[in-house]
Amino acid sequence: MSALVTLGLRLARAGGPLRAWSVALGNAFGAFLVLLTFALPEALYPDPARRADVRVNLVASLLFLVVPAVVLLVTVGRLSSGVRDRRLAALRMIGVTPVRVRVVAAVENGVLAAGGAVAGAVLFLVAAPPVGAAVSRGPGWLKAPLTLPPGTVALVTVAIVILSVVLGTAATWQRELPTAGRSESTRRAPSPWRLVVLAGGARLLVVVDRLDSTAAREATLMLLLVVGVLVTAVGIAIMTPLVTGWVADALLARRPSVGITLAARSMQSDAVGASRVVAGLGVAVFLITGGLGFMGFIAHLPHLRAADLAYGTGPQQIIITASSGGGAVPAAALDGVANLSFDGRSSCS
Amino acid sequence: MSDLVLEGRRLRHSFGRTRVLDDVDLAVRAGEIVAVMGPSGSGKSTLLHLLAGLLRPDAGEVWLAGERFDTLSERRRSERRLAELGFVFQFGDLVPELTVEENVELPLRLMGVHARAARARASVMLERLGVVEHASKRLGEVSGGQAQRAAVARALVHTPPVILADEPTGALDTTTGELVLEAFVHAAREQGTAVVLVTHELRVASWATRDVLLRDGRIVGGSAAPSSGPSEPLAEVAP
Ligand SMILES: Nc1ncnc2c1ncn2[C@@H]1O[C@H](COP(=O)(O)OP(=O)(O)O)[C@@H](O)[C@H]1O
Ligand SMILES: [Mg+2]
Repeated sequence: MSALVTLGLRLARAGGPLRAWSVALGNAFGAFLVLLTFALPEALYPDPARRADVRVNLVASLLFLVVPAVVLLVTVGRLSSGVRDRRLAALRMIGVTPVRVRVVAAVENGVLAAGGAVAGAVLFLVAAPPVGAAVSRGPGWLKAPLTLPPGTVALVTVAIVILSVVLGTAATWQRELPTAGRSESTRRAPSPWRLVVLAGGARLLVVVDRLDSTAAREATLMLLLVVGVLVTAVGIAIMTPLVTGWVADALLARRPSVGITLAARSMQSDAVGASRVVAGLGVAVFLITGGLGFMGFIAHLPHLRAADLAYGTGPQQIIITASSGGGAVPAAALDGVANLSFDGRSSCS
Repeated sequence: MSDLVLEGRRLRHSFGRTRVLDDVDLAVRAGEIVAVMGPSGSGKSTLLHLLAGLLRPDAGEVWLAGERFDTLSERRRSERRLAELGFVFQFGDLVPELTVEENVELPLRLMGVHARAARARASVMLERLGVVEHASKRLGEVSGGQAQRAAVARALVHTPPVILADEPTGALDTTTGELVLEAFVHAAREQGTAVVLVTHELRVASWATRDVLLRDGRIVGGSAAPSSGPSEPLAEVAP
């Protein structure tokens, strides 16, 4: 075990300052961003009821913040990792088991990621409260201190490191062993069957859209919707290598310059690489959170919101308009009605 | 025969639609040096990769030390490869971030040998192959031939019962090439190591106790099975 750790540390050190710094900084920034994302809802809406009210919007917009963080983690983890991946393949060749190779890769990536993530967390703990206070005093967007309990910070930091290690060791997911010297150039082209998943997911979404949404069916409908969205997301993710392959083929078909030929060939050779699938997943998450955000936006348009409340759990909103010439209805006139709250708005026109 | 250490039976392998090996048999006994010869592209490297469990055959069987090898799990094959096989690859595959001696001691360290003992053993091998003065250099600071000899040292360092060497003298001049071949002969004589040596040079093949000729994925000459008589390396009678 200690030999594996030593080897991992050795590779981390030898991987070059560019890789070390970018993994560390990427994780620092990623951790900071994610912690901010977790802290913002409470700071924006200290009142839990109000927070529940805008939940969909909040989740969607915060996911929008998190997606760049994930993409960042993927990018830095894969940066100049080609050389490292070849090292790991070389270890496999002399008989290091897949699990042990993964340990080496995890140590290599993990020390760099952990250093960065801890720095990001410290930065958040130190910098976020004063910045939040300044924002409250200034534009006043934040209604409560911008901070998180230390336990949450620690948990998020650990999660970031784990995520980073998982993404950074993506190359070791590949089960089959590249034979010496031929590793990069023999990967098979992705099969068009990958499209079936996307088609299936899209079809499911169309079906859901066409179904009558009577109340009795609502749970089934919700389930179908979620499954449809998930299948579509996976479909988009695994389609990315296919599109990459098509683009490469299209580029090569026109007898391009040497530069473009090189680029296209390298796209082909790593077409099914895990990093591309992960990148595709990023695109999928992005699209889906975008869709969610849009749906949340629609659902919270005032008239739809009112209709929803009236149809569902309430409270119901009643707008009382006095006949012309009568003037505004005095609030006191409604005092006798039970369970009524008056939002105080009145207007004359 | 009970002293067969490595055996390929009716091995067949294709890359895509191209049949690269077709019903190849090869049995190797302890202490033998078998030269696998054949023109470029005849499937020599593929045969070694199958024997080492780096590739799985489409059909046929690989037996290592009397046990079926090719059907083992990835993990078990890896473990046995580390402990029982030494592989010298045609294309350099040492870890460039490590020094020469760190590369050589790697199999021992991975097998749990203590650092100091591993270092001592690595020095002995580097000495034998004439690269001990480059022990603490990174791979980028040594020549291709020195790196290749380091790769041979790494394959031999943990005294595995089987060595598979793919053109191990490809980048070497006659003198250093002989250092490598002498190291193989030494291992075969002293430790009973079985050596499978891929080469296209007759000069190299003359060091073997037996040779096998491969063409278009089929064995077309030589002897695929060990003879029953005593085997003597031909080095002494070689030109
Ligand atoms: N990974 C691979 N993918 C596709 N074809 C391969 C691969 N490896 C080898 N080949 C083909 O298999 C044949 C035998 O290759 P190889 O075993 O390397 O021959 P040798 O080592 O005898 O020169 C060659 O025609 C080569 O093009
Ligand atoms: Mg070859």
